[in-house]
Amino acid sequence: MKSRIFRVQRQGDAGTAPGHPPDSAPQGSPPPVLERQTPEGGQGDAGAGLDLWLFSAIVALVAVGTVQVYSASAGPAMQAFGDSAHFLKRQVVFAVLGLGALWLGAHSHYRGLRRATYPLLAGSIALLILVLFFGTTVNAAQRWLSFGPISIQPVEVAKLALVTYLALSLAKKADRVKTFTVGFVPHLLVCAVMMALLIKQPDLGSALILGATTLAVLFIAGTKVSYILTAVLAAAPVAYHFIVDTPWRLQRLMAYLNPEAFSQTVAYQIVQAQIAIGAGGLSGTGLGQGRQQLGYMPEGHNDFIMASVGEELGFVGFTVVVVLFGVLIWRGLRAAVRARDVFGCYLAFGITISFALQALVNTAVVLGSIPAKGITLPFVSYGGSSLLVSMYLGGVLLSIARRPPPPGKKARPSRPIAGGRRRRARAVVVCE
Amino acid sequence: MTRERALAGAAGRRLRAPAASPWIRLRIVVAGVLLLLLLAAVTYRAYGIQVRDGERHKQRAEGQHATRIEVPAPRGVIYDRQGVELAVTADIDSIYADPSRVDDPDGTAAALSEVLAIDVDTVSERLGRDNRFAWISRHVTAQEASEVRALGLPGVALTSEPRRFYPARATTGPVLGFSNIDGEGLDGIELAMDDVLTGVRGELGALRDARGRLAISEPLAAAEPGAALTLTLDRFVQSTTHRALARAVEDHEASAGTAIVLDVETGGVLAMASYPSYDPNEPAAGLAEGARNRAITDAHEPGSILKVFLVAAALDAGAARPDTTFDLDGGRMRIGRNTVRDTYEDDELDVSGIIRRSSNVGSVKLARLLGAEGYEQALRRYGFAARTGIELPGERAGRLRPHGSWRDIEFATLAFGYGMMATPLQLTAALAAVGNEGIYNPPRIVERAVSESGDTLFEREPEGERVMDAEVANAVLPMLASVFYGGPDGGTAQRVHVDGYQAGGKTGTAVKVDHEAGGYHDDKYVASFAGLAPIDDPQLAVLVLIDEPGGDVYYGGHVAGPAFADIVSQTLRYRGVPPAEDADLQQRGAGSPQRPRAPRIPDPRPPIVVENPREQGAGAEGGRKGAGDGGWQMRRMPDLRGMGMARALERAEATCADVEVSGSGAAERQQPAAGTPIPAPTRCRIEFARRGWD
Repeated sequence: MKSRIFRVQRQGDAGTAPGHPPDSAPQGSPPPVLERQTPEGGQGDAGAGLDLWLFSAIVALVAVGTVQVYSASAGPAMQAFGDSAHFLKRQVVFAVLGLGALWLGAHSHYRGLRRATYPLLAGSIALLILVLFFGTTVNAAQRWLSFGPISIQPVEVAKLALVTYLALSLAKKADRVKTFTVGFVPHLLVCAVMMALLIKQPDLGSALILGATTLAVLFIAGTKVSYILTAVLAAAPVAYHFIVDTPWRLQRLMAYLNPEAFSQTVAYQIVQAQIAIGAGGLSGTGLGQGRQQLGYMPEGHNDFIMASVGEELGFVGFTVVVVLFGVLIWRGLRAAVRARDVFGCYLAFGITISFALQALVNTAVVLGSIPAKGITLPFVSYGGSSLLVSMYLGGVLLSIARRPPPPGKKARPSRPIAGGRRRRARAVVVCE
Repeated sequence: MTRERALAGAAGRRLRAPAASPWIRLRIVVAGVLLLLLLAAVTYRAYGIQVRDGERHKQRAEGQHATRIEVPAPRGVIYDRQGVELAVTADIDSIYADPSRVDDPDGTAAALSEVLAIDVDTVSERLGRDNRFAWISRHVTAQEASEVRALGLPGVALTSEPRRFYPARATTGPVLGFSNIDGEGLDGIELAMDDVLTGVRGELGALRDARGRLAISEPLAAAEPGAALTLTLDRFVQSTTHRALARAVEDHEASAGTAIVLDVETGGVLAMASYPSYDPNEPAAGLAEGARNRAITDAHEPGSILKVFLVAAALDAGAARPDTTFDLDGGRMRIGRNTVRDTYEDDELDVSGIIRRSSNVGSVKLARLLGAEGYEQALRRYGFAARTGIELPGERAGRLRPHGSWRDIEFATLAFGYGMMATPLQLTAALAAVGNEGIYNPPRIVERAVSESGDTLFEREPEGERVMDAEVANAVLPMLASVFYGGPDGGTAQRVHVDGYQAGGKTGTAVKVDHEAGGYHDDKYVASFAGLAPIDDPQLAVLVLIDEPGGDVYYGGHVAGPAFADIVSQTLRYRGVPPAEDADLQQRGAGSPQRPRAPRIPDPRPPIVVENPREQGAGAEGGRKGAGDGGWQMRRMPDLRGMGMARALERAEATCADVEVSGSGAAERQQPAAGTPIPAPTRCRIEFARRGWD
């Protein structure tokens, strides 16, 4: 708490008014004053307080998402709620709240997450357990926890918690990262617990995303590739078991292998998605002119929003969204590379990789390239908790990105986190 | 790691460098490149689906949600000559399903079968079709429609379809014909004038949502209603004729019958009835009984009625005068091994007497005066052996061999109407020419067709043609009137009493050809009566033909005469023709007014004593061989399968001497089989079956 107050003052010193909307933060204006003092800080645009590329990509994705949610959900919403803007209104509310979360993430120092890591981890696992007992079942999967009118997906919190935990833990363990027992097993265990709880929902897709995120973070943290391969090989039979022994998963697999044979049953969604995307052609049918939302495309505003994008905005629109994710990945990884401390580095990478994996899996599913998985598209798909958490993580990414190379001696002592300095120093020394 | 450690001791500049070591940075870059490659792959895949295969997907998408709805054009109304509606179209609900959108086929089938009273299995079968569209029930009642609507079953919907109603029901029967549930004319006027009546179907572009509901629709082309048709038919005359015919057929336990009333002046058909008939609203039952427009689809040997035209031809050619007399030797005449015999044993008759007494011997002698060539030419001139061209489907041409091939006995029998085939309509039309001072009007039934916008698409035009001298025609009229004369010297129709009017006519009693045994049946007749009324200025030409009357009475005068009298007197009264004051006098015979009506009817006798049945049979066969304008050529049986009834009959005409028809709908089986060589006209069987529709 103390730290936050201090930071606000600091930013005020830097010339940015507290609470100033991040999008209007002028590039090259006072905040970089501190940074400009350091020679490295001057290397290019990163000197700016705000990564405009990253910020713009996120805002653009949210904008495209909101429009497409409306376009894709108007018909079903009209039928279900008598209000074609039913989902739009909610999405707009969440987008506004999301901007708040983004601002929060961007303006509070990401190191604040260090303290929140373990409570977050414990809380998210508790939520994952709770959802198994008290969750709302939608489409045969218990993924939502309802608190009155608000329902959240614990998996979103778990994602945040896991990424934070991995970053913190790996940063702390430093050179012991390469060891099997200290650097590898604990992280894998935490991840495995989460995955097990997710599979129980069942939500195999999210479990796999978390698993892959974990392995990716471990990979860049220096874990031996052989360990990672071993883990993958060990997981393979388990995954096989889950798929083959679960009738609908096997069906989905069969449907993936031969969609046309199942076009009226399990592969209906996939086939319809391809029809929608294909019908869009190069330039699309035009906003609101998509026909697949006439009930043909289930979850058209949700997991399959890219089908709607593809139909109405065509290959051009589809590519724009993919490119926006490309920008997100590029800037996210750039932030990781340039992060001032290892925690920030790992955190930025973890966030980025989880976005990237979700985006890849989601688009690949929509395009029929991989078997169907219930994965939402970050920033774009309809969904409150998903959008809020994603935007908060986006904010954290911005926060990491806005921390340029060390601002100089004056800034360093000012870091208020007790012990943070010491750990960071150690990490820096070791890493270098 | 060692390298990293080595770097660890670097200067402050290093400390201010990013926290991530180069090794980590490398790994991050590797991961980044990998991710970007994957994104590129996704983009490539999207390119494949959207751009390379875009057209295919677009068509597929259109196939599932864009739909063209054909809007059936309302079929044109059919009016009688007075503007009375004979066929009208009204919208009525039909129920269909999109089986792929039905959530719960069993429940849906159960619910529908309960409301619509259809077998559950039938509904299930329709719902189970691998199709986007299946009719559940068409033309349902308003009650059923509202109940189904209330059920709100997904995948089940209602649409309104035009349905045809025929207010005159069985009265108009096969003449009017009927159209099927899809608005396609299948018989009668409905078939013959289908193009005019159908109109142009409209088209509606629409989007169908995933549950099969229509979302947006825009008219692509407006439906153009069919043209309104006015017939020459008169509903009153038609119903009078229908009733009289039905009574005659039923009273005499006959198998079938037909009656025609022509307007002498124009050739317009005032009535055309067939028995059995069908109710065009539900034609199946009647069709199964063999209902068809027998006035044009059946050709018979005309028998004695043909004597009228023999007389006209002979007078016209100058071969005889009305007062020319013939020595009949008691009504017997030997020709080769056959003997031609009269019903009445007259010794001497003039030309008028031949008609009045229906003398076969006299006809043969008159025909010999005229000559074969003159006779054949005259008959062709009067419209025999050629289709009249009436706007009705399935008309047969009849048969008349060229005179060059007539043998003696054939020429003789032709004189009294055997050895050729004519349709009832041909006979009536030829008789009308006699009543019309020798001018032949091809019989027509369509007066005019007026499109929705008021354009006259078709208007009947007089196409009369003189086929005999007016004096000749006028000379024949009193001869026809004499048929009604009473007394021992009276006519063959002396028991027929036309109430209030003077009529003229001719009886016909033809023995039917036995197709199975060859030769003639000895107990199957075609009894007919054709006449003109009023005889001093004919307005109507009427023919009544009763096929195979049962029981002992089979003479045309007895069987068909009363129906003729009924039709004539009611129609003339309806048309406002003042009854003739001296009608009864003339009825008894102008020459002998005091003579009481003959109390006795001579015993009917077959017209020909067949002494050598085989030869007689061969003769008859030969007569039928002389089809149309040329000799018989070897033909092959056409493939009739799949054709509608009228079309099938028309095609069968060329090869079949007689067609036995069963069932209704499209031809399914035929005998002989398609492609069978047919050396001579033969008896054919065609079985029809309904397919597809409910």
